[in-house]
Amino acid sequence: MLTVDELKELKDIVGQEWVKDDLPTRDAYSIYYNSSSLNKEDKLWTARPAAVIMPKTPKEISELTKFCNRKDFMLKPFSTGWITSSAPGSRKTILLDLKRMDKIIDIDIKNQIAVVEPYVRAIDLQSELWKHGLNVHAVSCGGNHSILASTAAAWGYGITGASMGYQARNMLGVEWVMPSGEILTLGSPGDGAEWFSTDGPGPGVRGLIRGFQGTFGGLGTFTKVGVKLYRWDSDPEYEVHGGSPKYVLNRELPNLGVFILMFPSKKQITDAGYKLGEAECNYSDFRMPAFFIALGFTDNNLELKQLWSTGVFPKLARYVLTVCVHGHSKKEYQWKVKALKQIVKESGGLILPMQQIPLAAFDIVKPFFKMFKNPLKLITRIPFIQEITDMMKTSEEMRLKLLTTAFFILVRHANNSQGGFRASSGMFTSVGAFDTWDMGFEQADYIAGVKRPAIEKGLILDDGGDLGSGGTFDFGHLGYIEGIGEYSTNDPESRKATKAIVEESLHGTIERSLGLPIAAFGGPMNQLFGPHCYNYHEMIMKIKAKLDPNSSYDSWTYSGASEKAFPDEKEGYTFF
Amino acid sequence: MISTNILNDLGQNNTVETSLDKLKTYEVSNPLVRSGRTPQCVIKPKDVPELQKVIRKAKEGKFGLVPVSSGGPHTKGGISCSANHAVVDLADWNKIPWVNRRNRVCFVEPGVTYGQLNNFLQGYGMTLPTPLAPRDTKSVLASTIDREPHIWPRMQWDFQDPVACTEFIYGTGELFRSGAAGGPGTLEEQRKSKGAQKMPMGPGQTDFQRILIGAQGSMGIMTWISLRTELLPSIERPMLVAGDRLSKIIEYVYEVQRPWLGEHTFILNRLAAAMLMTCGNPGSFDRIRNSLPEYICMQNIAGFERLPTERLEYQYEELKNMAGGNGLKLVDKVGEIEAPALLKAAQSPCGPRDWRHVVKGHCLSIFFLSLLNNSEKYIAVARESARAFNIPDEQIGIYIQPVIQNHACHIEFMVPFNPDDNHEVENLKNYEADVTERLIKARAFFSRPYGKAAEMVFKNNPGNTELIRVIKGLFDPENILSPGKFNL
Repeated sequence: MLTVDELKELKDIVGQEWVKDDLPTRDAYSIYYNSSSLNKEDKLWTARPAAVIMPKTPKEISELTKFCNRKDFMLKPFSTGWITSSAPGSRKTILLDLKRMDKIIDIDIKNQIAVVEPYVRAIDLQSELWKHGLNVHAVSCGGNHSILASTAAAWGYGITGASMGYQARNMLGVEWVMPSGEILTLGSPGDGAEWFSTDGPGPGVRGLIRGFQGTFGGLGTFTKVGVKLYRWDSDPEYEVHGGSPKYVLNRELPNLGVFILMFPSKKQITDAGYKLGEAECNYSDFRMPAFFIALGFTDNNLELKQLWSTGVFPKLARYVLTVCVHGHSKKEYQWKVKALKQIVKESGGLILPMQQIPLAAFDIVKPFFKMFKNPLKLITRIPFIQEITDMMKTSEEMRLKLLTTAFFILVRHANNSQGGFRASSGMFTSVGAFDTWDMGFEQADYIAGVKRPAIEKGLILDDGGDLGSGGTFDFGHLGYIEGIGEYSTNDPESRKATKAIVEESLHGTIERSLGLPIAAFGGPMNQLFGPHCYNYHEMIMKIKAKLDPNSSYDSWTYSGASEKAFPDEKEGYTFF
Repeated sequence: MISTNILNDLGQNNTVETSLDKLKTYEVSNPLVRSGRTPQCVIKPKDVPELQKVIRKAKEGKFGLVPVSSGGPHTKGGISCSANHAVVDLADWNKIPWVNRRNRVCFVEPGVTYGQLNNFLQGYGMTLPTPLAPRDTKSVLASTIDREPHIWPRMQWDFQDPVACTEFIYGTGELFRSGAAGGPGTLEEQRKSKGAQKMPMGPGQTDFQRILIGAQGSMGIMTWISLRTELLPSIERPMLVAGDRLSKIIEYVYEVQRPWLGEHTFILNRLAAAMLMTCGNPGSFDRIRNSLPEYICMQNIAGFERLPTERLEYQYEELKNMAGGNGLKLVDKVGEIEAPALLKAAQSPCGPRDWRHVVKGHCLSIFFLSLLNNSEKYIAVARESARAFNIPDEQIGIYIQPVIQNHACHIEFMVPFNPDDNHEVENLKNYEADVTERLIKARAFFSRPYGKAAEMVFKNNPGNTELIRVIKGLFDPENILSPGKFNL
């Protein structure tokens, strides 16, 4: 507990109204999505923070950091706070909710660089950028995530990575309140220049603060970040009709098209993914698993259940790649569409017509699909099948409806991870090592096998097993797929099964050399993977000890439970 | 002194050179740069375990190690060391152990050169973007881990590209692999799971290799790197835009780069262009230079495996319009320079000596990063300073290279000089000090500090410099690797 004097000291730093130590507020910051994954007891509640503070400036954060250097408390900053890694690791943790730091400091239109504070959300920045013909990469938890967090502090796959890269690699300078309380700016802005590089002079010291994952608030607070922006050569705004939750675009946007590509096999979808990258056709792409396609075709869970139970989707849509093609000009757009069509054809795939298909149609084709193991393989062998498919038309509204769904996923980031929750109360993820497009599918296959027994027992949602979601990066240079599953947060048996799946997958990725998974961060995970990866975890602990000798920052998501944590807070966990 | 026992021990399995003539070739060959000490010996380790042994022996014998991968002459000063040291020469490690077309990746050992690598990759329909006309013996590894810019900025997302993964040895002698190569599993096991050692970050929450990149050998010794390679164009139409007004060319480059149009691009002033084009034939230097306008910009257009001709055609139309919109013309030839010849010169090894050195025997190079629209400001700074040292504008070569998809740019000023003319050398030393200071004041960012910049730039951001010291203590606690580098 903070003493009266300590509270006064904190209030003197940020102002009385921005220090919250009342129980309701602290409890509100003690529950997160999947927070039961953080303790062996399967409790929904995390540690209750000692206080919640909402600072406004780096200087205030610096003073708060110095306070924790002197006292038996730790800081844990977060920006939008959606993911469980924002949770406090100890009852001695003071959470820094950075929502008051919400300014877009600068947009350099000519050089395509933005400088933002922690609470600038992807969708807000994107809305502003489109007015200037620019865009920003957003990770697939959705448009409500913090751009600073995805760039400097956390991690995340993102659908526009096909052309806009992995967000850690889009960092162009960062301002950092270090664990000592010193405010340091790395890279070009630290030397007085504009925000265009985080590397140098000399060694790229930014390597300390951001690898595949970031430090998740375990090594100081990042207060500004420079972000590399990309082109947007379509309309600055769009208009919709309809109402929540289903808005529909009034019309197509210029130089922009979305395509749903279906392939009969893994080999064919991966071949196509590489070729699309080489031709730079894919402004964004997403390997959309069959269950998510069915979800996108329906407006509610009853429809989803009916549609999924036809059995058509697992056979028809096992290997679907959704792609956004975006041209700088009409000519370029036309070239890219032509290239895409050629690639799909030579890869033995089929472009689904951009038409919302009436659900009753699936009941009609159900018997045909039951007869064959891989009906798409047969369909794609029909002469002129693409031309026949292209002639299928229903209505303009049905076309716009499906187009809008794809647009919101592939471009606008308005319906990403959260959209996938609709079918259950909770979602877990696993595997998700980053390397090649081919390796992504190996991971998807592996985790589908791990999930299957739990699906058969009814412990987790029957999504067909393969809910591998991801795409390409840097025009096919890199690839990523993570293994998602859906479970019931209200059912202890479902939670237990989920935890078992994720734990098995962690060991499986080691045995199968499937890379370092998305969950491989924080003390227990680094302890598990480090010995198989040149003991990288030892360097993390050395960095923490050297830069934060007084444990001023809660490091459960970085180097492990902090020295200051209570003994019962130093236990392991399985993050998902 | 390095003890005879240690030299004998290391000499059992490795080549150890101690002859003064040989050692002198590892001194910095630049009268403008503080030369440091002559190395005590040159060690050419047989393999990785022997290299680890060399590091352990250096710790035992209390001498430093300076890694070298390129052949001489060494002019920038990266290998300069004022402490008692041995050179670890890895230039003979020149294998390309693995290549994979599907994932556009290859592995190179430290001694692989650009000419060697691109000849090899051609057989796979691939290429690696090159710096502007690298020396014949320039190590690909040394160049890329120094963040040296290359001439295909559209293909560079991040400053550490094209480096994908690395294997390196800490100053403690421990071996490490970074990025996806870090594990789990061996490289072969990872490939069996369809990994290809492309992901550069990690393992985990640290970007280990980024700390070695730009460190000039002071944080670890790399034994191989994997590189992201690109498709070789199947059809090309190199073009030029040129003129006396840089501002027009800059506007054109912004317009082209924003939507990722075109391929290789760079801007040279007429002195730099003539230097590059005549490095094999200095006799034609004046003729070529006098034929050129003030600035010339390479604009390559290409098609690859997919609809190459149609791609080239639509891009040509767009680029022609963009040039016209900026009062420029997209042309095949400017003065005595034909676009294909310039592109070829830019992509090919330039010979045993740096092309900048051919005109007068040596060249002062001052380079830094900024934004493209700051170029003219920095040219004015360089010229203003030069006037104080009686260096006319026309004796300053200018090379402007957009990097990371034109979100930043490398700006380089080149002043050719006669290394045997003491007066000229002294004048240029003073010019370098003055102009570097002025540029720093004008917010130039010396990301890759050499020469005078290395002495000045670390004072700009003391917190960052202290952090480098902390990392040095973690990666090389005994200060074995390039001791004294960056005053660490």
